[in-house]
Amino acid sequence: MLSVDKLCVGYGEADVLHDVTLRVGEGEIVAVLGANGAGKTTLLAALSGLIPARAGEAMFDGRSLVGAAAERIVGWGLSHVPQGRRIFPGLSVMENLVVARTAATDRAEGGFAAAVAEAEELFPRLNERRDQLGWSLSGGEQQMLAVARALVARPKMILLDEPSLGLAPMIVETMFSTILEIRRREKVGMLVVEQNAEQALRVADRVYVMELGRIVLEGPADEVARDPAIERAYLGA
Amino acid sequence: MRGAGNRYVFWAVALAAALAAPLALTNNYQLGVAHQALIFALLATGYNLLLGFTGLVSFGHIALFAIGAYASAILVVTFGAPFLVGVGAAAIIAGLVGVVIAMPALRIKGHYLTLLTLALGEVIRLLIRSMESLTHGSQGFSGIPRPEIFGMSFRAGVPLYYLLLFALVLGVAFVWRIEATRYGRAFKAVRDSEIGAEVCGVRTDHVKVLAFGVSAVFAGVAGSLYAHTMRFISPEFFSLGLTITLLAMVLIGGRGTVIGPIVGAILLISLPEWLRFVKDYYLILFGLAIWLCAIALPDGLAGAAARLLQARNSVRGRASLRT
Repeated sequence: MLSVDKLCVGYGEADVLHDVTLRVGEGEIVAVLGANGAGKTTLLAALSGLIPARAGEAMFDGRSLVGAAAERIVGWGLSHVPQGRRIFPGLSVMENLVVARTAATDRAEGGFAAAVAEAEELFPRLNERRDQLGWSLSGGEQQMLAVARALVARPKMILLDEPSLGLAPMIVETMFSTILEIRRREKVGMLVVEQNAEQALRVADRVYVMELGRIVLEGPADEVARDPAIERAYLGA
Repeated sequence: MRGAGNRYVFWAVALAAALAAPLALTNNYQLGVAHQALIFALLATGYNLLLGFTGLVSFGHIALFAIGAYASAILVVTFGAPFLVGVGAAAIIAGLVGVVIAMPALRIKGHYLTLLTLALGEVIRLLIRSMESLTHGSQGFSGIPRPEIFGMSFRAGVPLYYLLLFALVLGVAFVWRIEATRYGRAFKAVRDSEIGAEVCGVRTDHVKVLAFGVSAVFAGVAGSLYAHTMRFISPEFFSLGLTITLLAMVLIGGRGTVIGPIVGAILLISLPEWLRFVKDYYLILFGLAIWLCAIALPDGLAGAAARLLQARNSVRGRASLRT
């Protein structure tokens, strides 16, 4: 479904990603692990069209993502939940969801109302907070809203950037079980970028490990979890 | 905040008060102040679309106001066009220049954008001053007639007041409507989080150009109305000081609200009149007011009023629970 081939991305004079190659199948959950500054966020931003790629190819559902505008990529069914959530603090919860409405939302059965109902079933808190402004939500609720906003666009795949960042352990737990629930219900694939390796390894089918803009290791999650180098570097064994 | 019924009542009362105001404004001088307040309310309402709704801080907005004023004056006086053609051309020309100013906004953000728009505004003002054959340069442009539409003259103060009020009501109705549409939400989404808007599939480039363009059209119309009301314009009037006044109108009134810029404009235009007894020291009071607003009313008078209403409602809610 998503295949990235030797993708190179950079800002100004700095090259950040070097020949990144990875694949995410239909309905698959793939985690990208790596320390701060490894290029994980840059990878997702390049895939969703926020920054241009310098070389290489990225194909999603038979279309090339390289050079495509962000709003077209959302329309093709690839949604991005950015780092730091980036919800709209001055809009109500409902208005946040309305902004994310696309042609795909309306094409799906039940349209926008059904999309909101499904998102609120996954995150009942959002239903209680419907008319509240974004800034008044807690960190966990904001993350829920960010994921719900991605779901409203009826994606085939979601790019999740550090969904655990700045959340209490209990909330992180719920977040990841909801991620599994989303896959079960909607059959969407996910590319999850995480520093919280333990959580990511629990939900992912396959894992890539990034260091300084390169993929240095890949494999099934349970295998990578047992890799002694990974245990040392990311799991604090 | 969602009391839609209350909102209609509020606007109906405000409109009634505005319609009745000429009864209280007994002399031409007071009427003149009211004219200016209405024009600046329209200008500030448009500026608020950019500053309050979309979060783009432009210091070049007064230049668009000047372009509107000069375009209309030149067309009507020099080329003998009717007033409506002058207003229309002012709107179109200012709108186009606004779109041009928007181009750098797609590349740069924050303070850099503010500085660049400041420079562009000054360039436009200097151009107006140096194009003497068209604009009469720093002597100023005089002899601009009061509006006349299909033979109906708005030469007298009271008819002119209603014409300006009509323009303001149209502008406010437009902003009120757009706030509830996808464009209104897109403006605020870009203001709140540009990355968030982008990943939601909002075409942030288009949204910014649209915000600049629409607010420039407001500035153009307001400029034309200003020229035909004051009947004399000069490049010195459209200087940086006026930009700051415009900014203060939106900030003190409450940015991002529909009523805020109107309240701010009325206040800042009429305040110097009320404070006439302190003479030039009113500028000190002005400074104090802005300073106090920044500390006590970060969301302006409109925001403070909304909070006050909310507090009262919740007190009432608690009281009714007890009984």
